[in-house]
Amino acid sequence: MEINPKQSASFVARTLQNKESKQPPAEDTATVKAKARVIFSFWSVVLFLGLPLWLWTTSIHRANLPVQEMLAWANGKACEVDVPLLFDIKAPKLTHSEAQDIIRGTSHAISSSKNFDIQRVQWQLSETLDGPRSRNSEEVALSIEFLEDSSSSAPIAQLLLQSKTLLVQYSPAMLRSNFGVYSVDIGKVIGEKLDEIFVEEQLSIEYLLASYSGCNKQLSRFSSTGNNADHFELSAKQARRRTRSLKYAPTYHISISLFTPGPVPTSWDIEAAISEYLLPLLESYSISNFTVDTQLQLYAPFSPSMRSPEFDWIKQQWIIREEDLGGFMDTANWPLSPNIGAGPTLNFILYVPDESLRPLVINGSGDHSWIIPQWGGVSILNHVGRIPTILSKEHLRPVLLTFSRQLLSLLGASDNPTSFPQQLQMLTRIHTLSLILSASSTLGSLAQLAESLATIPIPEEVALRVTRALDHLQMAQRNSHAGRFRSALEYARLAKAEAEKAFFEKDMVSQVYFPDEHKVAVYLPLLGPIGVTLLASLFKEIKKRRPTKSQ
Amino acid sequence: MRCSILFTLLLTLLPTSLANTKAPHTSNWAVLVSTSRFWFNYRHLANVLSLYRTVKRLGIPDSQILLLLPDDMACNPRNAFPGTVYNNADRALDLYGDNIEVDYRGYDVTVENFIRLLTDRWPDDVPRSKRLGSDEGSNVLVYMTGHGGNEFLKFQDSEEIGSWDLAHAFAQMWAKKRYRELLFMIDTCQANTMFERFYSPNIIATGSSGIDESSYSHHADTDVGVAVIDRWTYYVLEFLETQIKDQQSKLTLGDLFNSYDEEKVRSRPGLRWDLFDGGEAAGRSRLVMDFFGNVQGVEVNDANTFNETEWIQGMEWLAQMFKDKELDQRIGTQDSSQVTLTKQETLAMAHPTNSQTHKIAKIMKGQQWEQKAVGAIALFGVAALWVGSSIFTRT
Repeated sequence: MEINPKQSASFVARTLQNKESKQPPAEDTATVKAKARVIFSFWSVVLFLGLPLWLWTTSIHRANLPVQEMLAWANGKACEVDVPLLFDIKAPKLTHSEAQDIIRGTSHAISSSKNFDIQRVQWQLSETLDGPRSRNSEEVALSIEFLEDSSSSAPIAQLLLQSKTLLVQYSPAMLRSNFGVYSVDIGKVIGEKLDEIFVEEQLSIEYLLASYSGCNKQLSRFSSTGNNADHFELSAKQARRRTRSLKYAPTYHISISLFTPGPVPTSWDIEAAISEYLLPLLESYSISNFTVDTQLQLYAPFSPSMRSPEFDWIKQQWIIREEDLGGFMDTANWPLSPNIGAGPTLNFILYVPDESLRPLVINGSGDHSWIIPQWGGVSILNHVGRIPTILSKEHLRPVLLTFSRQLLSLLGASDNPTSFPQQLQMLTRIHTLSLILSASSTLGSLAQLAESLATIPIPEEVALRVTRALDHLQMAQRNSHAGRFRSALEYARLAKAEAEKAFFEKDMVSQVYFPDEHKVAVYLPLLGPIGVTLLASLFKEIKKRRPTKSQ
Repeated sequence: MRCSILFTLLLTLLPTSLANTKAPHTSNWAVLVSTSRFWFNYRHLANVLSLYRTVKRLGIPDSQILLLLPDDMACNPRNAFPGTVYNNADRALDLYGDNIEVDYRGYDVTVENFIRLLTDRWPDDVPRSKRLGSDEGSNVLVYMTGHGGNEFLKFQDSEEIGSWDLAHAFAQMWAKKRYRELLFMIDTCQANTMFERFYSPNIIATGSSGIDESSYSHHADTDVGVAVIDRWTYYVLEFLETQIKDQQSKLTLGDLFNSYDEEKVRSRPGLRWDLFDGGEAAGRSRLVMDFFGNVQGVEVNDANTFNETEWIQGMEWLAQMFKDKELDQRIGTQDSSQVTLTKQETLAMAHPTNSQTHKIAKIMKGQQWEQKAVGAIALFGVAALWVGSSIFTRT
């Protein structure tokens, strides 16, 4: 149908006129009420069901963490943990007051040395001629036994190899002095010896505290203020020791491997050798358990990327440069077990070089074994003559002795261990402290993380573990303060384990970060059409009601 | 004026004096990620495999490399050379080889898994070989390649990781001391936008292209049928493979980054130094081997300070002690029983869940009869229903 534009315009005008003149029939009150009810119910569904549901499904569950306490531990409380030393005196031939005098003398001697500032020193007299026996439940750091020897002219103090006992030989004449000052000499000798024995421990503890970020470093010898060569050497030595030794674990795995480039030896009597030379050490190291496995690999030459050894005509031996040792192992082809079990793995490698390359030694020191920090040790067996097809226990003896020394060194013992029980004691104390510091630092990180990342969920499990970790820390501190280091170590270990588990909780993976425009893009197509209708009808309803109210 | 500068310099030097005496890093870890699937993205997997080969050659053991490959190009039916992956048209080097350890493959390569990997938030049953076990002494290399855009990188065509996600993940790693120094490398389009948001210290970041720039592939192999490597990765590898001859190489990151040639790469590779301790100068002086290799510091036993005879004496004494103890145990003294008791106690302390599993086992045992009864009743009920219904229908 063709419509004249003029005609159509008048048609529109007419219909408009009609609309103005003709109102739609008035809605009856029932319909109005129903309409209002419909709008109301829609909105109530949105407000009372939709909104809570949306909030509930999109909210991130964040359990309450004891943030203040966690941060308190991280920022200084952990540094206040003290590891006192208890010295026990056994002097069956001295009177109580004489022994007290000696203690006074020794205390004076060690207080002048800077070493004992960081550890509290306690004394107990467990045996004297007449005095009462005092005995604490604490673990004795060192017992000092007095031996009367009238022939000696000067007091001698000597640390026994096999036990944590300091033997002091004295003659009765030394106890009496003309000036009323008793036992100065004996005290001084003991003090010097104690200083010598415990300096390593003091330095370790000091370094530990100094390298922990939450502690006040001003007092320490490793603080930045003492910038001299002495300080430099000290901290370098401690740093080396720290990086070399593994962190404390209740179980370590030891993997002993023999690699040789040729076909011999085809077998080794390793089991007997381990039980003879290594087992005693492992058994005595009572703060950790060990599992051991061994393997033998034939036709395993050292890494092809290593520079080949050179022959030294003068000394008649093959030389490896020290800087090449890092690339000695063929990590791509030697089947060295990575960490498999619960604890960290310590690898010990016995390398039997080819006959044409013997003796194989390291440039400079001429030694044939080395430590790879936090990883393990390597030893080269330079057997003279033909290599037997079966390496006997005796062949393995020097190797295993080297390994045992390396093992102790990797576990954190001092460079020159003197008495094993004393070393073990020292390690217990140091490990306790380092575990406490580590657990505290983890808790601190967790607290900071929870505060800085708002989108990360925190399950109740984490809060529970944190509380447990804090409890264990408290217990560790209390036990350590009281000198019960075994239980302190155990509690510290548990605290660390709980703190780590809390930090690495698997449900605590933060949601993928959404920029705001993404959120708009997701919600708008969904809520746009519904929202417009709902809002429009609400406004209309309100508008409709207003004039009626004013009338 | 000069004095004050000197003073501030001194002040900035002081707190680092402890850090300076720190021993070098103790381990190297590499996380190598490709994020794309499908045959036409062959080059992304080749990129990652090339890096994998290089770090392995330079000494990082497989146990410390985490390789994430979302697709298997070697066994793709379209591959004209089955079982191999090449990164060059000359096909001189098979990247797949016979000694390759892929840690995450196929649909395991997701944003969530990648973030879990970095932050180590895994269930207990994930083996160590699939975890990033780095600590405060570790240098970590993170290499990523795929298709990306402004502040995101696409994973597997289905999801994406944003620059914030990555920044938060690294922040969490830093908070838990999971790296000492971190080198982040990324080869995607607009790659440099991915590291803009990083905020944790000791990160050096480098990417292939700036904002609004594409990263291009280097060349295609007409027999394979697709591009085999990306430009930026190609030139990085060229440097690593021709200049770093052995593990004793003393070339620095500065040398590596200076080798970037915008003409050749056809985009503007980016660098970020501000997070690194010591800034650009310190970062540039870091050895390439600090991140791509596994130079282990070695300590040769010093024979001079060590008293060997004393040590042997000590060990022999220990052995003697041990033998005595064994004898004691064989006789069966009270002491040994006490020791075992305390061991059990510590065990119980360490594993509080032990008793829980016991309970669970008990509950399961108890439920067995009830379950059987319920089953029987249900069976009879169904049978009765069937019989009843058949009777009703007959009537």
